[in-house]
Amino acid sequence: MKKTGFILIIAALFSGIAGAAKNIESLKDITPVRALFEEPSLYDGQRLTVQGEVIGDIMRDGETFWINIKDGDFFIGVVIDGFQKDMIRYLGRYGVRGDIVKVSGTYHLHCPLHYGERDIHAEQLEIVENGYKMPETVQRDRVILILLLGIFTIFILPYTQRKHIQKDTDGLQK
Amino acid sequence: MIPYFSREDVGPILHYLGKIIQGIGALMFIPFFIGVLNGEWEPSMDFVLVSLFSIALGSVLLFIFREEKDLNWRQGMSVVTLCWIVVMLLGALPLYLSGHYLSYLDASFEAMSALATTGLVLVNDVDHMSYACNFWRHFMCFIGGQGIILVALTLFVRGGSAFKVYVGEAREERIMPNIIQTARFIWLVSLTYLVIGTAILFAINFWRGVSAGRALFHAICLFMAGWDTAGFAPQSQNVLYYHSYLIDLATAMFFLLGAVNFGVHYAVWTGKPRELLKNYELKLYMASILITFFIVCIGFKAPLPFPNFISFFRESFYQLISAHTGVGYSNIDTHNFSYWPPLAILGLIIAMGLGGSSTSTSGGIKILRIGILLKSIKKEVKIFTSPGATVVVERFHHIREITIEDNHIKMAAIITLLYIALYLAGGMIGAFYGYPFLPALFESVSASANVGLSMGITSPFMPAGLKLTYIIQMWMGRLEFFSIFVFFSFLLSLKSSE
Repeated sequence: MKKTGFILIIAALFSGIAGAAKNIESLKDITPVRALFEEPSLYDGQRLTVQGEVIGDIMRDGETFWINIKDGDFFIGVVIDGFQKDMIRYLGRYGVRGDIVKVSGTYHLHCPLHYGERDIHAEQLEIVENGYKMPETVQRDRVILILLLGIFTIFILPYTQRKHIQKDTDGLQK
Repeated sequence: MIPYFSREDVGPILHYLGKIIQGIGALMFIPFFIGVLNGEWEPSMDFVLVSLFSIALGSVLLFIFREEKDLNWRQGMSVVTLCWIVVMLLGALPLYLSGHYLSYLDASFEAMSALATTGLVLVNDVDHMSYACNFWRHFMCFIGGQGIILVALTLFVRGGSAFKVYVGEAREERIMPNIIQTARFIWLVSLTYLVIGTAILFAINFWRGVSAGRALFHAICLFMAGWDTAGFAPQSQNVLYYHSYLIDLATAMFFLLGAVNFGVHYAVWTGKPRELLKNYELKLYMASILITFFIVCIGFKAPLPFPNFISFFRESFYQLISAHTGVGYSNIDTHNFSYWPPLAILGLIIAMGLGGSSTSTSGGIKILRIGILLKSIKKEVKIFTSPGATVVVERFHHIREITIEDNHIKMAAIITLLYIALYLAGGMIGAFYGYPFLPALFESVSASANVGLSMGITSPFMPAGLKLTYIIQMWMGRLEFFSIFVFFSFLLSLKSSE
C-alpha cells in the first residue's frame, strides 16, 4: 500500500513537471491571433503568447490599460498594467509603424471581468521590434496636375456663376 | 397623356448635376484642411487634386448647360439617381489614391457604403490611414445620411425643384410647410446632436487617457457614422476597438436617436413631448425591437456560451439594436457570429430587413410601412366581420391623426415587396457565388437595408460581381427604388427615340 502511494506521488510529481514544462514551451511558441478566432474554444482560458503591432491608442480602464495588437488581418485586445504600458513608445497610425510586442498571458473568449470581451490578460510584455516614423513622399506629377487643374478652374468658374434662368413651362407639375 | 423623356430633359438634369458636383468638390476642402493641420501632405494633395477636378467637371457641365430651369418630377428623380452614382465615383477617388484599396471598384464600394450609410467596408489597414482620408470616409456617411440632396437643398437648389429632388431621395414628409425650411431643420437637429454627441464621446475617450486631438477625432467620426446610422469607425475593429461599455452606451443612444423620425424630433423640440408616447411608428418600433430580441434570445438556448447574463446582453442586444436601426456598429468580431445559432441570426436578419423609422437616417422597409400594412390587415378583418353597410375606418397617430387610405396601403405594399425581392435576389446571387445561403442572405439584407453588419463575406477578396451587386443593392435600398426606376425609364425612352 505504501509502495503504491509512493509510486503515485512520484508519478504526480513527474506529470506536474511535464505539465509546467509544456506550459513554458507553449509560452515560448507564438500563437497566431488568427487561431484565437478560428478555434476560440481550443484556447479559451489557456496561457499563450501572441505577437503583433500595437495600433491606435492606449486606453485606461481603472488600474489597467487596453491596447490592441494587430497580427496580419486579425486584432486582439490586451489588458496590460502601468509598467507594461510605459514600455510602449510607438503606436501604429498614419506615418507610424507601431512597436511589435510579444505578449504572454491568459486568453478569454468571454472575459468575465470585462463584460464578455474577447481578450488576453498580459503577464509579460516584451518589445520585439521598436516602432518608427515613416517618411512621406510628395509626387511631383501630382503637383503639376494640381496647378493645371487650378488654372483651368479659375478660368472657367466665373462663367458658371452667370445666371441664365428660364422658368419651366413643361406639363407635369402644378 | 404621359409625357416621355426627350433630349430637352438632358440639359436641366446635367445643369443641376454640375452644381452638385461643384458642391462635392468644395466639401473636399474640409478633409484637405484636416490633412494640412496634421502635416499629412500626400493625402492633402490628393484631396486638392480631386476637389479641383470635381469643381472643374461641375463647371464644364454648368458652362455647357447654362439655363437654370425649374425641374419637373422626372428630371428631379433623374438628378437624384445620377448624382448618387457620380458622387460615389468622385468620393472614391481620394480613397483610391490613398493606397488602402485593392482596386477602384473597392474604393467605389466603400464610398457608396458610406453615402448610403451602410457601413460595409473593403478598406485595408484603416488603422494606418491618414486622418484626412479617414475623416472623409465618415464625412461621406454624414453627407449621405443627411442626404446629398438635402445638402444641396440648403445650399443652392431653389423654388419648385426643391420638393422633387427631396422626394427622390426617399424622404416624403414635409416637417415644416416649406421644404427648404424642412431641410434646414433637419440640419439644425443633426448639428445640435453633433455638438452634444461629439462632446460626450470626446469626454469618455479623453477620460480614458486618449490624447485630446485623437479623442476629438474618434468622437467626431463615431458620432457622424452613428447618428447617420452608417456604422463606420476609425479603426478596423469598429466599436470593439474601445473595449468600453460607456462607448457602447453612448453610441447606442445616438444611433437610436438617429433612427427616430425627424418629425418626432421636431414635435419634441417645439414643446410637444407627448408625441413620444402617442406616435404609432415609435410605439411599433419599440415593440419590434422587443419581438426581434425575443427571437434572438430563444435562438440562444441554454446553456448560453457566455459567462454571465451581462455578457450575453451586451453582445446580443447591441448587435440587435445596431441591426434594427441600420447602423451596423459592432462590439464583437465578425467571427463571433460563428457560434450564433441560426435562429438568432434570423432574428438579426428580420431586424435589419424591417429597419428604422421613416424620414430618419435608417434604411430598410421602415416601421411606418409595416404599421400601415398591419392596420390594413386589421381593417380587412373588420370589414369581413362587420354588417354589410358598415364603413370601416382605421386611423393612427403619426405627428397628426392619419386615416388609412388605399393609396397608403398600395405604396407600403409595393415598397415592402420590392425590398423583400431585393433581399432575396442578393441572397441568391451570394449563394450563386458559392456562399452558404444564410450568411449570403444576411449580407444581402445588410447591404440592401443599409445596415453594415457582416458575417464575413464582405471582404476585399470577394468576387467583383458580388461587390457590384452589393453596390447596386445599397444604392437601390437608400433611394427606395422609384427615382431609379424613373431614371431607367428616362434612359430607355432616350434610346427608343433615336
